[in-house]
This record gives sequence, structure tokens and C-alpha cells, in this order.
Amino acid sequence: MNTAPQDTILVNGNPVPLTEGLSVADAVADLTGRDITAAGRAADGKPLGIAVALDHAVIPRARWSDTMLEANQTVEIVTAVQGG
Amino acid sequence: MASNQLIIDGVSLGSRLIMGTGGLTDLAMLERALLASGTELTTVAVRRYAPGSGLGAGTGRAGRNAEEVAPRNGTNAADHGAAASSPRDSLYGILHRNDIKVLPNTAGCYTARDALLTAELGREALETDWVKLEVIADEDTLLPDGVELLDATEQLVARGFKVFAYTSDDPVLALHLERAGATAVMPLGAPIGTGLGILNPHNIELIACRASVPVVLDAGIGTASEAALAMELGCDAVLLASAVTRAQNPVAMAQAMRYAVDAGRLARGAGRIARRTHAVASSPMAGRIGTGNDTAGSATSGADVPRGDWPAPSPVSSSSPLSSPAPSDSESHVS
Repeated sequence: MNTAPQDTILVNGNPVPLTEGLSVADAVADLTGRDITAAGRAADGKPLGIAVALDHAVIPRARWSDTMLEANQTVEIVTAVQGG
Repeated sequence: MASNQLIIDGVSLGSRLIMGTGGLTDLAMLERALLASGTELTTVAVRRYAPGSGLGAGTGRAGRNAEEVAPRNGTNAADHGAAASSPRDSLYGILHRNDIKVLPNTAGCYTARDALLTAELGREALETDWVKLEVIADEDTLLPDGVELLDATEQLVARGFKVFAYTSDDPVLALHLERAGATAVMPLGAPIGTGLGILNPHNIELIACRASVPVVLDAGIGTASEAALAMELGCDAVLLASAVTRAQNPVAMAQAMRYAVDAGRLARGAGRIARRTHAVASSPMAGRIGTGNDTAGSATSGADVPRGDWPAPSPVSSSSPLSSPAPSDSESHVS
């Protein structure tokens, strides 16, 4: 097993090693550096402003913590930016 | 005059100027411009978090201009370009503390399918059903693709979205969008970012007078007089970004736009005078000095009577140097 290639997921186009039991909430926390509650909100109480699509389907924030990621899945984590 | 409040989807807005937020890298400047504009609703784009890794497939207007402004803890995005703003500040922070509502857009989408996913993400991220639906045809013109736009409008309405449809200045398409359930119809004055003003005022007026949903003039505005014109043509609101954010003095231009929208709406309600090609004196002709006897109260030979508009040459007013020689059928005209 020690020679098996590490499973990965694609987060915003970048390959990320898939660790055991990694949830969508974990992926959001890893990317943003903020703690995420079970309800899919920022633990600091401030607005999070994040949405997640898993293989092109939106995952509501309430399901982030119990949605486990699987190898080769595509995760898009988006937020609001300046725009017209 | 009626209240100046703009009611959209049951929400009352005190300002009829909707602002885009793209085009300024200095967040502090953006905040001052937004405050100067008096806006209560601003558009934002939806993009990948931490775009130090790139903006992905979205290459539309907002995508090109986008600056990462999402909430962050300030430690993991050292390549952030907006060095002039506080690293802890954010677009969110600005909008929240100033009580400005958010209208997520689907900028950069070329198909209804793309727009649907982007709209769903915007709804989830920003917790609003409102969406500025933008489905563009190509990168060079950024013109709306009417076919995809109508398709996307129908599907988004079915999913419970309140669709603010960014559309061309086509009065027929505007009606189609309204029938499809659009909450607001937003025709362009000119292509995005061009600052060419309102290229087809007749169409904009036609759209505004036939619509039973709010009409927002969106895109193409370059300066304040054009925003005023949009309101004079009967639009309910104006949406602009570049005209302010790319102005040499964004704060001053934002203030100018605020007054322009107010002035245009006031003028629309006031009812403008008819256009004439002939001058109409606003001072009385009677009682001028050096004109001989002038009996009080009796205007002589219609001198106080407006002469009316072109074409008006007639034999009895032959004293006018502009009068052309009487036509052969010189029997009819009486002033």
C-alpha cells in the first residue's frame, strides 16, 4: 500500500490529497482558514459568504459536515468578488 | 409626486441607483464611492475562493476585473493585489456595515446551463433569491444572448429565483422576459464598459412604457447626463459600475450619478415641454420700447402668440426673414 498513489480531489482546479473522512466542511475550513460549524457557518459568527459545488451540484451549507468527499471528485468553493 | 422609493420584489429601496462593485482595486475608495452614490443595492460576481490560483473558466467582464475581496483571516493570500486596502477589510464588510443589499450576478456565463449553476452558488453563498442574470454571447461585445437568457430566466423562475434579466435594448425580448417571470428587466444602454451612453433611446423608452415590472437601465452609461436621460425615458432605476469605478475621481462621479438619477426622475415626473424647431419667446413682445403706440391688452397682429412649429411659412407672416416664398397653392394658411 505504501507505493499506491495518494487519492486526490480537485479543489478549485487544484489537486488536494484526500484524507480519510474529509468532509465538504473540512475542505472549506482548509481553504478559508476559518472554523466551520455543523450548520455550515463560520464559527466566529461573521458572515462566511461561501458556496460549494460538488461535481457541478450545489451542496447546501447544512449538509457540508455530513457530505464526505471521495477520490477524484471536483469541488468548487466560491465566494462573492467585486463585479458588475 | 409619488414616493421616490423603488419597490422590487416587495423590497423598498431608497435609491434608484444600483451600483456594480467591479473596477476598483482600492476597497477604501470603493466604500467612499458607494456611500457617495447613496446606493442601497450592489452587484457582486461569484468566483472561486482565493483566486491567487486563477479565476477559472469565468472570463467575462467581472472575471477580468475581479479582485479577491472575500472574508479571510488575512494569512493565506499574501498575493492579494489590493494592497491599498486593509487586509482585514472585505467587500462583505463594506456592504454589511453600510447596510447595502447584494445582487449576485452570473457574469462570465455563456449558456443557460452555466448561468443556472452560478446562480445557485450565488444564492447559497449570499443567501438571497435575487440574481442578476447575465448570459453573454461573446467576449468582444459582451452582448446578451437572448435565446439562452430567456431559457435561463424560465428555469430560474421555476426554481424560485427573482430574476433581474440583463438584456439587449430589444423591446420584444423585454416583453418575453417579463412574461417568463422576470422580476426586473434590465436593458443595456450600450455594451458593457463602453461608456457610449444610451444608443437607442427610442427602444429604451418603449421598453419602459410597456413594462409592468421595474425597468433598470444597465450598462453603457459613461457620465451623469446619460443616467439622467435613462430616468427621463421612464426607466425605474439605473445600474452602473465602470462609469464610477473607472472615473478619474470615482467619489465625485458617484455623487454626480446620484444627483443625475434624482434629476432625471424629477424631470420625467414634471413632464417636459414639447420639442419645437421654431423659437418661442418667453418674454412678451407687447410693450417693447420704441415700437410706437401700443394699446394695453391688445396684442398686435398675433405678436404675443407663439408662432408654432415648422412647417409654418404662410403669406400673412411674410415679415419673417425665415419665411420662404409662398407655394403656388397659397390659399390655405392662417396663423
